[in-house]
Order: sequence, then C-alpha cells, then structure tokens
Amino acid sequence: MPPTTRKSTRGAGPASGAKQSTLSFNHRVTKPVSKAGKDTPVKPTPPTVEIPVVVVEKQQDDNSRATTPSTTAELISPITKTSLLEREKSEAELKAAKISDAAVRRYWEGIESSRRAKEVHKKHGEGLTVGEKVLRYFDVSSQYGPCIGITRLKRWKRAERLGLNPPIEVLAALIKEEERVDGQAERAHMDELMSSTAVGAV
Amino acid sequence: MVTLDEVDGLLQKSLGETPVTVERAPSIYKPLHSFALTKDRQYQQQFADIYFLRLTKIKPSVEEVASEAWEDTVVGGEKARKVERVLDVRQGELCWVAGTVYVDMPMKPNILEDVSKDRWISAPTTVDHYYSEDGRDSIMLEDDSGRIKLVGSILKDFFMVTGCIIAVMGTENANGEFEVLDLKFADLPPQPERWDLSKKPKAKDEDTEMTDSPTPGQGTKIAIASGLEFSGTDASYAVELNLLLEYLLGEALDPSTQKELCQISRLIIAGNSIATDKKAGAEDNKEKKTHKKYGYDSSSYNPVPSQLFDEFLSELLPSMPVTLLPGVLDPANASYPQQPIHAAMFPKSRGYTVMPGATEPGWLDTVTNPWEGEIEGWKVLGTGGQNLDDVFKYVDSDDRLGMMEAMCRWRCCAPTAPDTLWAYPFQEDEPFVLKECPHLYFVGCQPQFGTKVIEGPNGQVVRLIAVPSFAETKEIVLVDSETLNVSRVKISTGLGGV
Repeated sequence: MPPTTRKSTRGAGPASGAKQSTLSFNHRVTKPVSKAGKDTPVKPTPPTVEIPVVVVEKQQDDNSRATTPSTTAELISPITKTSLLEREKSEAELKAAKISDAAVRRYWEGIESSRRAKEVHKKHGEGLTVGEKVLRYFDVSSQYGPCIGITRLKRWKRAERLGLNPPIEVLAALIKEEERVDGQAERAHMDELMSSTAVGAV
Repeated sequence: MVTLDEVDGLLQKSLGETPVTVERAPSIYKPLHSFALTKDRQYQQQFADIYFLRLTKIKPSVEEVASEAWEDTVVGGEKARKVERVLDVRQGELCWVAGTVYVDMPMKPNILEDVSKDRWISAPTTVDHYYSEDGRDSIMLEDDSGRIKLVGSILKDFFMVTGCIIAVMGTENANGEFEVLDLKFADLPPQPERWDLSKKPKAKDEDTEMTDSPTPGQGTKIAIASGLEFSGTDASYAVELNLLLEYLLGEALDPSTQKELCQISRLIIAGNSIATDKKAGAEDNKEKKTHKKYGYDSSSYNPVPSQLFDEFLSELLPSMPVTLLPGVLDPANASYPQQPIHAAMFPKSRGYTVMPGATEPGWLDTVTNPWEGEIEGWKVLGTGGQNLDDVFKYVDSDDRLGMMEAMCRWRCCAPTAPDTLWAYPFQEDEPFVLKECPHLYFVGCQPQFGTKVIEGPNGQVVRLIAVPSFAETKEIVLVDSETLNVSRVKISTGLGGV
C-alpha cells in the first residue's frame, strides 16, 4: 500500500546526509534584472573551504560589475568546480597572470636543457602544449607531495604555504591552461588515469 | 505562647553564626581548536598527504639537529655527508639522511591481506601487540623517493614506530641495507612562555585579602580524571564514582578539607566516560532475529550509561567547570582526531554548554581528542589514550612514560596515524605535529598512574602525566597550577576483608 501521508517517506532524510551538488537557481538570468534583488545570501561556510568563499566574493563583485558574461560563466560551472577565471584574488595568482607565454616557454627550455639525455619518446609529447608539459613536470615533482587526489592549484598553494617555493611559472601555466580547456587541466593527468574506471569493471 | 527557646527536643534555634561559605577558585581557561574538523569534510583524498605534510613540517628541524651533531664527524677517515633523498645513499659512503620511519610488521592489521582473503571487516581487529617475537619486523626509512631498510644495534635503544621523523647517519652495506651508526630526532619544539594566550590575573592588593576565596594562580589545582566508564551493567565501581562526585563537590567533608578542595578550579575528563555493555557481544552469537527499524537494531542500545554520566555531570557542573574529551569508548567518531561529543547526549548538562560558534567556551566544554588549550597560563596538550595505546602495541616495553617522552621528542603526538590508528585524511595541514612544546601533556585511560618531567635542549620543561583509568584504579590526578606538581587521589570504600 502506498504511504498514506507524505511524512512517512521523509524518514530517509538522515540517511541521505551527504551533500549533493545542486543546481543554482539564484542566477538564472532570463531577462535583465537589477542585481540588488538577486543577492541571495550564501550560507556562511568555514574559512578553510576555499571554493564557496570565492563564490561569495564573486557575488559581491556582481554588484559592481553588472555584466551578463560573468553571470553566465557562473551558470555553466557548478559551485564545486569553479573555474580559475573567478579566482584572481590572491597575490600569487595576480603575479602569475602577468607572466607571459614566453616566460613559461623559457622556463620549460631551462628544465629541458638541464637534462643530459634527449627526449626519447618525442611522439608522446607531440600533442601537448608547453603549458601542459610544465604542469605534468610539476605533477611528478614529488617534493611537493603526491599529485593524486588533489587539484593542481591546491597542491601549488599548499607547497607555497609550506615554504617549498614552487615555481610561479607553474601557476602561470595552470591559469593559461585553464583558460584554454575549461576544467581539464584542474587535476593531474595521472590522477585521471588512476581514478578512471574501465568499461566492464566490477 | 510558647517560644522556641522553651521547647526542648524539637527544633533548635540557629546558633547565630552564619556558616562560612567557601568559594571555588576561578579557572582561567582558553581552549584552542587545533583539532576541530569542518562539518563538510571530504574523504576522497589519499592518506599519503598526511605523511608528506608531516615530513615537510618536521624535516627542517631534524636536519638542523643532525647537521649540528654530525657536521664534523669523521668515522674511519671519512667525513659524513648529507644526502637529500633516501635513494641517494651510495654503498660504502658515510652519509646522513632524514626521513620517515616505517616499521614493517607481519602482525599489523593489513588491509591487503583481508581483501585477498575476501573478508570485509567492519571494525579493526584488535590485537594485543603488533611486534613479533622472533624478529620478523623490519624498520625502514622512507621519503618521497623511496625506502631503505635500517639495521644496526643502536636501533634497539630507541622507540621506533611508523610515522616518526628521524635522521640517521651511517653507510649502505653489501646487502643494500643501511647500517645505522647514529640517530637523531627533532627533539622538543620551542616552548611558549606561560600566559602566552590568556591574560595573567593581576596580583591581589591588600584590600581584597579579606575574602576567603583563593585567587587563581596561587595554588589552585586542576583535576584530571579518565575512564569513569559509567555502565549500565558493571556496578563494581559505582560507589567510588558517587564518592568521587561528593569529593569534588566537597560534600560530607569537614571545613578544613573543603578549604583544600575549593582549590580545584577545573575538572578535565580525559576519555572513556561511557562504557559499552560488555554483555551485548555475547548475545550476538545467538541467531535471534533482531527487529531492525531505520537500519539499526534499537534493542541493543542501552541509554543507561549516558544517563548516569549526565546525572554525574549535572550535579558537578553548578560548582565546577568541566572539560570533556571523548575516548575510544565514547559516542564520538571512531577516527582520530575525535570530534566533541554532541551536546544532545547530555540533556541535563546541556544548559551549561554554549551554542556552537560562540567565542567563549562554556562551563561544560566538550572538546576534541586530542586537545590543546591553555589553563592557568600553562599550555596543555591532552589525549584520550588511543595514540599512546597504539604506540604501545609497536614496541616491546612497558614504559608508557618513555613513549610519551618519545612522542614529544618526535614532535608528533600520534605518529602511528594513519598506519594503524584510524585518522582523517588531512590534506592541507596535519595537526598532530607539535608546533609548540606544551607545559603539560596528559594521556588518559592508562592502566597505571605515572608522571615525569622531561627537559629539552633549549630549556623546555614538560610535565608528562599518564592518567589512570578510574574504573580500574579508582584514582584521579590533581595538578598544582603554580608548580605543576602532581598528586594522586585514591577513592576507596574500605570494604576489604568481607
């Protein structure tokens, strides 16, 4: 017999306590509306979680920059995977944004020239840009910790916080790669290989 | 009309003197929330980050100590060189390197073995000790480049557990093993001054000396108890628990003892306040159909222990502030660091806690395990016992105070996390590393009382206390807040011989 009242089906509430990413209906811009009405309060999050705090900052920015492209950018990327476009707040990132492509290429050539042996498997590196090569080199640099299970940006920031001096060119390459392919350069390539599930796997 | 004076044998007129009220000493208290985890924490990350964070944080200090010690050592005509990575060690070359210790023990619970035998265990199997008697254990040094096996007679002189950071000097022998000639730890971290975080109370001037209340910082005491283990089934120590309550409240004692007792400004309960029913396990063997609703068997839950503990607290709290650390038997999360016991467990004592998010701690302060804070100006680090019990399983020794000392000198209060001690996979910061040396380090739920004072190379002084479990020993510990001297109070009922 189907449940007579709606209340009995709500018993599953506590079991589904895990937070699921929800669609954000707060910024569905279907017609030009003044931003003041759209200022939905984001729930206060603890300061250790980086990403939601950034969304709050972004909303404060919305009051000053009432432009639709920025809101559509928010529309596309859900809160859990904000693109780096929105996070140009920290000092290191601002500095890294100033570093040119040529500087990144020079950094990479510096690394390559310090190696005694030439590149053996050139064909594997053919489809990769210099930026992606710099990032993959950063991934396997074990002095900054394991690259699995952490985004490249968080790993860079953590290395800087611990005083390991990760090269700023890596952050520049990361920002540029994020602009090129939205979201694909976020995690280490090895991370994607290790956590991918094969078709037909149990 | 008959006045009260004329009537004998009934009510007595009061003697005219107002009874002297003794006031309890106030407690100057500031908890730190170093071990608090956020509510929406992720569990997707790997545990390797913990080891990386620990090594990165402690390695500079270890290397400093090591280079100071081994800078000019010449052994057999060869000078010791520093190598950056563990794998850079060359055969026959005298060198020193720093890394994390990994102890490979066949008796350690091994998840790979369980998976291969197709046995999914829900709770970790508890073994008495992990070390094997016949020397099958091997100690290795590891860092992000690789591992190398350590041999040498000097290794037996030190406690070695997985996760401590050391620097070793020696050479690689023909078997590919590293022969250790000397070993160094990071030793005690810098110690802050007393009254680093909280404000020191001003010295009393003569006008206020008339009151009886003792001033803070002048001989006040901190009481530490653990293993109260309120139980619904085991009543062997219930009388002592009641007597403990009366002792702390100062009831049923004469005024001179009460004067001493009002010096106790705070009670810290270091774990295991609520015992699990031991009989419940035996009944599971019978295949009786348990009535399951909402996914758990409600008949196996016994609310009596937490009710008893709540009553104890609610009677004690009006008089004394309490800091409550969870232990391994308490209703808090199973992995380290344990989060504070939820206030919903204490319906009567709940009024003494503060709302979550308040800045000032409440009269009843439920805190994490391990816990850091400042009491009467002294920096205090306390745990509920799981870290020491786990280290105890690694080494063949009874010297628990020596292990506590080793943990301070390794600068890590839970080195075996996450290897054999379940821990949260920290990714940003590892809080078990001691950044500052505490003045007082206590570990609860130990089988016996023990205390020791250790000293560091830069004048650090730490008082170590192994707090005994009340259910076993019926003892609590009193710490003097000026001198950090420790005294033990045993509550016994004197029913021997019957």
